[in-house]
Amino acid sequence: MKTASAFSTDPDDAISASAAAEILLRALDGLPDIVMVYATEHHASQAMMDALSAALPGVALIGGTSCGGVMTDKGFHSSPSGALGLFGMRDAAGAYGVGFAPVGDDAKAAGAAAMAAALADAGREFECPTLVWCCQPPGSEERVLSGIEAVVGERTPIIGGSSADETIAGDWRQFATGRLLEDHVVVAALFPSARYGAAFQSGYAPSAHEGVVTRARGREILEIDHRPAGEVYHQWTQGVIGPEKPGAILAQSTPTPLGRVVRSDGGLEMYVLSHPALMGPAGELSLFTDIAEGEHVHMMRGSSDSLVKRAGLVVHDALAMGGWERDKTAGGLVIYCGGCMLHVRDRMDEVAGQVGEAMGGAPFLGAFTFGEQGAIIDNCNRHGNLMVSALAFG
Amino acid sequence: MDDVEHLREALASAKQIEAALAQRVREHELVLTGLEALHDDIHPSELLIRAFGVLRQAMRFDDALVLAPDADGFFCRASTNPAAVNCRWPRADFFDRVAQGRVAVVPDNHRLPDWTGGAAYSPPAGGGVYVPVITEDGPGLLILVCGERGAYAAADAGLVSRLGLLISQTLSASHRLRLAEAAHQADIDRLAAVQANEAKSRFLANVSHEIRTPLNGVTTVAELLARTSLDPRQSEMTAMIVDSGRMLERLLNDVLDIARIEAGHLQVDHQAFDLEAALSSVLALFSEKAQAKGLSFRIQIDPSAKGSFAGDELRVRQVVANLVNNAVKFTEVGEIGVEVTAGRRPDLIEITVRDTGCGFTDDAAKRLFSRFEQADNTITKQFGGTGLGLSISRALAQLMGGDISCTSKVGAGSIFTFEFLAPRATHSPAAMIAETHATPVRPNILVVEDNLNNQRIIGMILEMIDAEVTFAENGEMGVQRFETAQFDAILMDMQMPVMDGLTATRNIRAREASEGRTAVPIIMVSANTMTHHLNDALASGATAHLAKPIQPMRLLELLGALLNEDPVLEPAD
Repeated sequence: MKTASAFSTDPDDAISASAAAEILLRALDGLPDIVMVYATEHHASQAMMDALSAALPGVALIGGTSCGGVMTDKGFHSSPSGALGLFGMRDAAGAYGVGFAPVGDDAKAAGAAAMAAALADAGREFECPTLVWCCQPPGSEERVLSGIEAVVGERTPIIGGSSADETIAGDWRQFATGRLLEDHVVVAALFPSARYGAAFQSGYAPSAHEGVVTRARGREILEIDHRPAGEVYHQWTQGVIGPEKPGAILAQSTPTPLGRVVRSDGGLEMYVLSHPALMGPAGELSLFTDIAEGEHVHMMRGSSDSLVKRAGLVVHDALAMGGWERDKTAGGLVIYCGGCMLHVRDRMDEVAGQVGEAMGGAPFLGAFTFGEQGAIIDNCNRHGNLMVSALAFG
Repeated sequence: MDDVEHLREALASAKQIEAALAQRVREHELVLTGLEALHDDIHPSELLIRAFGVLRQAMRFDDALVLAPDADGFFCRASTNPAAVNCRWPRADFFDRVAQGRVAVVPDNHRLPDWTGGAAYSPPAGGGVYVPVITEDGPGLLILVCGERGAYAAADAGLVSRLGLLISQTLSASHRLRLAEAAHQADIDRLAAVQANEAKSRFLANVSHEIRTPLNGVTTVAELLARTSLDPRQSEMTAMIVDSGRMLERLLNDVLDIARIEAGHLQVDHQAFDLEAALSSVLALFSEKAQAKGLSFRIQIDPSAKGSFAGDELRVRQVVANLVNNAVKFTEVGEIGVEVTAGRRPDLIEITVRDTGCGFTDDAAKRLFSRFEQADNTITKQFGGTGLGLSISRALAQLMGGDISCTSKVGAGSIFTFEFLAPRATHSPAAMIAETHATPVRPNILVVEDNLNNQRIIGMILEMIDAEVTFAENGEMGVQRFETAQFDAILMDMQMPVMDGLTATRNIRAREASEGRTAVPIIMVSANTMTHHLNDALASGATAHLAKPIQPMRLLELLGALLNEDPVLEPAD
């Protein structure tokens, strides 16, 4: 397997796409078998997709919009007119296919339909792929994962991120081979010939504050320990965020998300995070993940330093999970929470540098998403916020 | 706070990596356990049970199957589920791809079209791992199936693949064991076949003896009859009896030769003989036959081929007789040519027989030296013969370090080249001249023969030279007669009750030696005609060996030679 990354910050969507594709083709010395495409909402146009299809004829494409820019082994790429990044895999001995389906009213059915289409596109319609790469709009990721699992089973790792925009205005898009999509699940079935390693973690530690969700509605927590959720959160954040200031709290809540234990191993708990996005006037707390009554939530704490270092460490873990030496890394992909990126934006070159170092200098592409998906050690697929999901090939 | 976070992160990473490493170690251990559990010396059926046991430790599954290829698809070579064993599935894409090396994991076996096809076994609706293995019959599959949908992930395929190698090794070991068992059985069968063949050879030798004795009666008496005053029709009938008898004798010789060749008992001699002299009697016979058919018969013996060579004169004559007989038989117009050369290569003698006969095609040439083959089936009907002659001749030529080759053109004739190795003899066959005796006016001959018919036949032959004949019924009586009277020659049967001819001959020679008497010529007259019989006869002290059925004139010529001063070669036939 051979991989390469490319990027462009040219303001013209088509020129940007063509330029990046040309770099990719040169680096791979031929057409790749699949290309992951992440671009800011500025470039998310059919012109971009047409240019990519023209430059990469017959190549499977998958991706979506990324918040604020992209990162590659060349650094963090951002500009007032956005950025575009590509990660190409040339692997004649492997098999790859992309499928998509509209989310509509049934995200689970969409996940299943997209997965089935991806397997058919790979020519392996009865099989479990080695990995699934996914991209979907924020809002119903758990059901999308459930739909994918309905086709390939729960033990196939699903890795990816939810498309993001710049202002949480719903301008996120999804990309599939030749198509610019809105409100779609896009899935790639990956049967690489190379080994892989994956890791999915946050950069947060639990604080002393915890409680049980006693009332919930979809993605809203209404009460914690029978008290209004906003009031409890206000107390936990020592008055920084509370119902007295209803509205978007995404940026303020980034250092203090909520976490749920998904696995406990020898007294060490593994958490998946939920990012509080909105504070309602009645103290209802809206998250970027589903939440259910009875779930135990902890207020987590993270520092800028940990968010900067976290991506590199997760990549390091992915390589360790894969079980090869760093210098044998062929390349990889990193999904980094858009909220975290915004929190440490001025240190993103550091983040890219640490990921690059962890990858051993191999090509990689990083996208900034509004929801991350990955598999932890028990191979259960999870959706979380403020997470880092890394995938490496070696 | 940062320190706590960092510690937690480090611990979380360490835990995940530790779990991944533990999984890898467990996989290595399972493979090693498998290698230790599976030995070559375990019986194949037990090996597969153990291999499935190793799989069971590694992975959960409801059924494990090993599919092997057959002509039309795949069959279940082994399984943990007896209902699956020997079930067959027609060739289809998915199984084929896996067998050819592609590992696959499926979330639901029932979606695979390959399982359809009417086999009695169907996997449970659930996940399956399919990995390639090498079976005794070629590339096959190891399949683990489970009743839980999506039970397996691609990550499981790596371990199952490695365990698949164990299955391949197991099948290979069982294959080796089966081969060893088959080889052992083949040894037993071969020994039984050798023993059966030896029994057949003994039977043939005995039958040969028993056939020759009455045959002797038929042909020899007919020959003697032919020498009496008969009207033309009687003469014709007598000649037919003689010809039929000789034909039967040749057939008997051919069948015996084939039996010896098959048993590996055919041996060739390496005695000094005069090549030209050996061939002249054979060629003279066929020259007469050729001329009778209006064919010219040309013999060309190169000076290099004159003189003595060490070889098997009898067999050389047999091969040449066969080739020349065929040439005469299949040629109606033109000529027969025989050329003899020596020394083209060291010790090589080449005898070429050319004819202008009907010839044969290249296809026929390929089959010509096979047993019971002639150029075409009509030959047997038109010309007779068993089709054994060329096969025997080639076997004899090969035993003599040479071969027979042929070229032919249909309608234009054939060329057969008989090559054999015979080095120049260091001494002349003349050195083995028997003692000579003054010709008695009325030779006194002792005939030691147990068969009364043969006694009468020999008596009738000896009447032709007015011999005085004394009969003895066995070897012991023969020795007694020898002790009490003086004989000019003794005709000694080989196989007799009480005392056989060999023992009797040895006794006679011993007495002659102890009493300083001149050795009397002893002709071993026997239906035992194999090479070792001839050698045994000469070793016992016999002067010559003469095969039954007796050709009267041959016997009389031999007696004449022994009783006169003409040199006589030891083997008379």
